[in-house]
Amino acid sequence: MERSEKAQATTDRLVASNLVCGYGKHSVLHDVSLTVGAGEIVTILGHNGAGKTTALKALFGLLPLQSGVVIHDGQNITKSSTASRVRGGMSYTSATSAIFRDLTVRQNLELGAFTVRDSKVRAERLARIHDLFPVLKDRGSAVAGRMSGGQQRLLSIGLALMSGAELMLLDEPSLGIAPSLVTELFESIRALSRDAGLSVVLVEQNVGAALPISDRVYYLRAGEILLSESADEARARDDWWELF
Amino acid sequence: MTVSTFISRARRFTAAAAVAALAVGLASCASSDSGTAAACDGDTAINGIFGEGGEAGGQGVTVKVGMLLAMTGSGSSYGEVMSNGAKLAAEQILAACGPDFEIAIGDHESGSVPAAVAAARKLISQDGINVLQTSFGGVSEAIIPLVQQNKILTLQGGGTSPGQIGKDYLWNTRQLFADPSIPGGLAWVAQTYPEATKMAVVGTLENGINAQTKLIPEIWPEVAPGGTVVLNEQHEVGLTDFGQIIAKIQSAEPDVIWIFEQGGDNATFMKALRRAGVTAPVVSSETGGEEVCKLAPEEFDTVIALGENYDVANPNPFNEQFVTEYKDAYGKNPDIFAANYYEEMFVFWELVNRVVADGGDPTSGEQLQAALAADPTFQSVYGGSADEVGTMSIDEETHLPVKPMGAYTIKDCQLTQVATITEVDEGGDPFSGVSK
Amino acid sequence: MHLISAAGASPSLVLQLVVSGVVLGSFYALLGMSVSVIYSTTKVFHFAHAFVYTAAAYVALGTASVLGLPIVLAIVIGLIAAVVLGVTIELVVYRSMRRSGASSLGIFLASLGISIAGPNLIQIIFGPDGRNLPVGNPTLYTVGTVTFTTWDIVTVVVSWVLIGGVLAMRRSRWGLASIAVSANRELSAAVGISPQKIYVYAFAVGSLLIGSAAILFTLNQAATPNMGLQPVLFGFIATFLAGVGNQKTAPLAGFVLGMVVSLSGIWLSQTFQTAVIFGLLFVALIVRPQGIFRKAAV
Repeated sequence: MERSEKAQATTDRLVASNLVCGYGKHSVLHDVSLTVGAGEIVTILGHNGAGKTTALKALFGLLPLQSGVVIHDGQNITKSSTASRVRGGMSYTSATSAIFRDLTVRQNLELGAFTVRDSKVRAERLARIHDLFPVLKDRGSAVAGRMSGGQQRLLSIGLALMSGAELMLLDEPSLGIAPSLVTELFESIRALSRDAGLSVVLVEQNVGAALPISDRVYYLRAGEILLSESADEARARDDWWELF
Repeated sequence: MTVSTFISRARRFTAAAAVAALAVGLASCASSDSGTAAACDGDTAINGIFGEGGEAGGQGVTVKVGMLLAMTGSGSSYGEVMSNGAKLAAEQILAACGPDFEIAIGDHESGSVPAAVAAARKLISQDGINVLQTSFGGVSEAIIPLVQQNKILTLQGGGTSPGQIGKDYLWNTRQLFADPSIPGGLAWVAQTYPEATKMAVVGTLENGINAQTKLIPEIWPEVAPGGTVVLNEQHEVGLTDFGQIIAKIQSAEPDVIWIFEQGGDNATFMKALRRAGVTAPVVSSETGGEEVCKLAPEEFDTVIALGENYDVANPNPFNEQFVTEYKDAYGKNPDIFAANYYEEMFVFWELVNRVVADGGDPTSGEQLQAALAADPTFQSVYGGSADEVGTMSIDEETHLPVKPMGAYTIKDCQLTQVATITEVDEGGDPFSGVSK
Repeated sequence: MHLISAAGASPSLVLQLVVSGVVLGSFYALLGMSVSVIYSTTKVFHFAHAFVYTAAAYVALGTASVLGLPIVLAIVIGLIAAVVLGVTIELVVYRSMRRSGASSLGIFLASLGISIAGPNLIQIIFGPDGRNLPVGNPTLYTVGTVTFTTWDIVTVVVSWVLIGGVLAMRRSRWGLASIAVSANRELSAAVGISPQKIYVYAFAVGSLLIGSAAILFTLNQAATPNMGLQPVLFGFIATFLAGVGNQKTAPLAGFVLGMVVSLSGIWLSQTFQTAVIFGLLFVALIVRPQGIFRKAAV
């Protein structure tokens, strides 16, 4: 409850300022600042290699920052571990390994709620996710890696929701799934945001699918934020590729 | 490639890497502390046997003795007792106003040929050894070219093999493993267990292989009417699970079992055999010594040791003082390997004296070997009597020693001789090799 | 050369070999479980496991014969020592090497170094000769022509109880977390599992198992400074036979290995034991690199 008070105290759920980060001595992000409000869906657009995935990993604490500050719900989490960020309501869904492929669907979802000690809370969340994505209930004992690409994506979202995330970092959720499913998936993300106040940072190549559900857009090029604008403005552009 | 060679290769690989620094002490070569006994009085028990030392006794001469031993790996207990025996001898000789035998030890990792060759090279080129004591069969065969090229007089007291017979610069103070005692030994078994016909033979693929696969199957039917070898099993050294072999023994139901095991394998085998309820008598061509026996003392009470055996209780004065001093220094009785490497050091001393008397260079392997070949008989901890030191001689052609052999019963890990065995010429009557 | 056994396949021999195979297989199953718990989770070629094995036996026999403590207490102390040593190696050596960015080869070499230096240290302290735990001789049981001893029964029961315990632990929070880390380390971190803690857990469990194996071995035979390498090697073979990362089937693979080794005695001399083991591994790695058993969820 403490957190919701804080969330009210500050309009922004996440504030990242001047992030510099990279692998070894080679820095990939030079100066990245962004904010995400409660219930807001923010999309980062950019070319391959622009640093989109690096930005998500940096926000989640998977890569150590060289400099910069990350504030989550009013708390400075710049030096916090990944585990404590998860407990604080943040989740990260990787583009390439977002689920435990060798484990069952049920085990995956259980692991999503690893930081939740209260078994009643875990059961409630599981029930909610089963409502949202009935296929995850039906195929509970299936080996996750043997399901279709779309089902695996749903599972990855379910896994993130199991942790009780209020801020989701989603890397390329449309990767490898059928176009018809992409719209469906993005609609359910939009619904979660609208109904449950979920905040989302979305990294997406499929700009056409991402923009309709986004509130705001950041353009990232060569590790720097080039521009930030509302999604409506972005949709109005017909030349946004030039920004890259 | 066996598990053990796989491991020893992996071990060497690592030793080459930086982690070798972690391998405390034993894995690398160590120099002895023979230089500590500075004072000599020429009046020790040794002087009573070997003369008073001094200039004629090689005093002031420094001879560097290399030892190529199993310091690590499954045979490291051999390396320890061999080096113990040699170190004690070196100290005694120095204290008796003899030459200073400086010992340098190389590790062949319990029988690894590459390790042995590398260690021997280091002993020769870096430590500058003048003479060498080697051990184990295969590795000693491998270093023969090295000792011949560098003219290093080498004594082998631990693992004589067919490939080491009659080689220039290599002289054996241990008999060819098992072979000489087999005909007489089998005759003794036939006399002692007249009902026995079915024999099982179990051993390693090492030095006993000729006795195991050829001599016993040939001679046993000759000495025992209706005698057959019902089981002949070989295994690797260091086997820990004898379940399969024991099952075969149980199935074959032998009247007597003959084993050729190395060191601790004797105890492992005997425990497994007796615990499985097999009661047939066991004849062992190498019991592995007292320390091994203590791992399975009750089981060893049912073993008959056969062949060349070192007798701790031998009252020969040279042996008596050896046993006393050895026990003082190391807290346990010496075994055959401690004894052999101990008395080899006295062979070196005798040779140094001979070369010095002729005005030669006592550090020359060539001159030392010539002195050996001229009269290959030496004082020994074997044989003899309470009044007389025993002797050991080495054959000039084969470079093999002549040593007393026998059949021994075991009680509380002490051997009691019950028969004397002598070598029988090929085709001779096996029974001529036994006397009670 | 009598390399092919003349004993033939008499029914009594086959039965005895089956019984020996069950005992040997249970022991190998325990080794396989132990190595697999550590390897599948941490991906460390933990050859220093050999030192942990040896240390457990020597601490137990040291406390029993030198300090004169009761044998059961000595065994417990030996097992605690194994856990402490295994965890210490992880915390002091592997973790700091990982932090400084050491390659897995570097960590493997350090581990191999410990597996050599440790036994050398034990040899310096205790000498190279074998040593017994001060326990009496086991009772011999005879059923028909088949024989087995108390220690055989103890080996089989203890091995499978421990294996069952570890498999049951998989349903616990820690067990699930270790499965997750072994399946996907990065994602585990993303769901809030601390892989570092799970590594410590894996080393503790694996060390407890290998320590127990060492005690079982020493009860039956004798401890020597070099006793550790072969069992750890067999543990790795079972792990690879089962398919890397498949903890559930590693004990089964170990059991099959023991049975095959024992039953090969019907036709082959013991000399071929190593050939049988490596032959099995070789064929398995070529024909079924994913493991000899049908792959299910881990």
